[in-house]
Amino acid sequence: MALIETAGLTKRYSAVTALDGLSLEVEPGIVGLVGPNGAGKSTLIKILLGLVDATSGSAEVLGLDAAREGLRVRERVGYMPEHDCLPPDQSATNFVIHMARMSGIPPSHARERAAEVLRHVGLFEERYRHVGGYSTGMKQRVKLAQALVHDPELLFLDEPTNGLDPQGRDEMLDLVARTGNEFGISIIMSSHLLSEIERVCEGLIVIESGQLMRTGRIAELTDETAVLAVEVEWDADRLAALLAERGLEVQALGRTVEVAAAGGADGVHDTILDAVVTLELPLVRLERRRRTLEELFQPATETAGDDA
Amino acid sequence: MTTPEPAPSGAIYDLGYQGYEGPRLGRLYALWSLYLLSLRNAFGIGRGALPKVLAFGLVVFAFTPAVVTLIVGAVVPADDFEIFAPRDYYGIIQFILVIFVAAIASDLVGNDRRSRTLALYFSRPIERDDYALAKIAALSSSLLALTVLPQVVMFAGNALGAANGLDWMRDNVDDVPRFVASGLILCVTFGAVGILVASYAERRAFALISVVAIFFVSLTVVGIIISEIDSDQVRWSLFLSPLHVIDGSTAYIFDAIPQVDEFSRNGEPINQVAWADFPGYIWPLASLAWAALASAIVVRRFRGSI
Repeated sequence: MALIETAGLTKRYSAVTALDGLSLEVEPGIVGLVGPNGAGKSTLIKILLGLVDATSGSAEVLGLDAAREGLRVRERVGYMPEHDCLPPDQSATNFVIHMARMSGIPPSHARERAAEVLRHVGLFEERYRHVGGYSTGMKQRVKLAQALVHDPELLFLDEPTNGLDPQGRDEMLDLVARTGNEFGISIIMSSHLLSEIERVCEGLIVIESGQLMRTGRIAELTDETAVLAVEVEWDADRLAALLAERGLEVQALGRTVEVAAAGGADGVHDTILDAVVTLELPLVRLERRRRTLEELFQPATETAGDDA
Repeated sequence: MTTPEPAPSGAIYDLGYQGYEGPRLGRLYALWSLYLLSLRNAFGIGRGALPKVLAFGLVVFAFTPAVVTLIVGAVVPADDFEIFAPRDYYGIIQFILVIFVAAIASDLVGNDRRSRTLALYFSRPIERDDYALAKIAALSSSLLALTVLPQVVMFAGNALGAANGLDWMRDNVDDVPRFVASGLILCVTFGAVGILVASYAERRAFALISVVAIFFVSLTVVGIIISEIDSDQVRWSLFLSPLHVIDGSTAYIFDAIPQVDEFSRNGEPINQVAWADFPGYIWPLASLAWAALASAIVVRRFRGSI
């Protein structure tokens, strides 16, 4: 069963179209949701939680219709908003217990669960102190704890590393990865930093201006755009021309020629070696390169910049 | 002698993550939890010292007429001696009730809005309407401690202090359903109007002033309209003043709407209510209409947020 399935999901506010015919299918696992500010990430999460009604189209979460069965969806998912959302005059323990009860967990279980998740996120003695005195990192942990306390099947994390210093960011990402991998809880994590997504996520959804740009497994995405880099001592231009002649997609960068090698690279390998021999060029290096997500989306982000 | 097996020193037991397999009690239980927490918050329980002092201070004030009646009753041995009568009680402590509502309502709904905790409530298995109604219910029932409870204490005290307690109770037992019914109507009206104002006033101080204003400014303005404008049509304006309406409701329930005379228009609010000469049952109904209308607006307000 797909974790999330949307079809033609559209949300229009009076002047703005936040989501524009979004159709996607998300498999269980840790999935990154990427897009520039205003791309529709938060709107998508709110529709999936049943908090906002779509203008048209449908959305299913865990096999439940988000619009009609929002209550049942919210019983089984957890949500960590991007913004501050903790009452400053309560202790983390009391607050998380209360949130467990708000999810239907009976009082005695709620206390156990709160202790358990606060320990998991790394809050110990300080959990009895008022949240108002916490650092940003500690607050983020409490926010994660309240989203986890009712043992959801799916977690929505909206920019969980927001406002954290590099160390706090690392710790939060580790926590997210552990939560997903060890607890078997599926996670949809939004971020505007591709490097973070690449570090912890298996799947990826890219949206921009409310439209789906890309979706799939990160490994496959980077595979698809793999290149073979050929470095020769001289005459890279001639090599590039010859390879292009033989039907390959090439790009010459100084002494290196990058050759597109999507899918299997065996045939491409042979063609390159053949060409190098034909031209009698000294081969320095032939290696397979994956592009990082960052490189992959460079063009997309630039286009977005032009539109704005 | 058996010795317990020594734990391997330095070992850290990672029990791993435990899923939750226990019961999930659903929406009504969640609402009950929200209601209870709000009720506790109303009296400052689980919060700082100041909210406690404020809330319980006002409760003490609200009890004062009952306590005075009991003390005087104990000192002056007369049976038909009433300092404060049940029918007048809510009118006497009106000001304290408004202050209580003004001080508490903002805490109940304003805090969640200010700290943006609403997003967390709404992402849980309750509906937004539930949240709004739980808050109104919490404020309304906290008011019972300032209204019906002192009446109960006063009634019980009077009965105990009377020369013949059973006789006294037989003579006065009618008051019980009356102060309960009028008290309940008053509590839901104050509760709904208070939450209404607080859910629109973002800042605490502004909420406080607005609650006081909506009760007392309307009381004063409508009072002046009735006494100064020489037209019978102005009697309709009474429905715009919740304190006039509540006074009328309590007086009707106690069957104590005063006689009209030439001074009624310029008199106390309850005399103005009498002057208007609507059928008496209109007042409790109007009070409940205020509560219903205010609740409906509050529900709309929360549907629109987030």
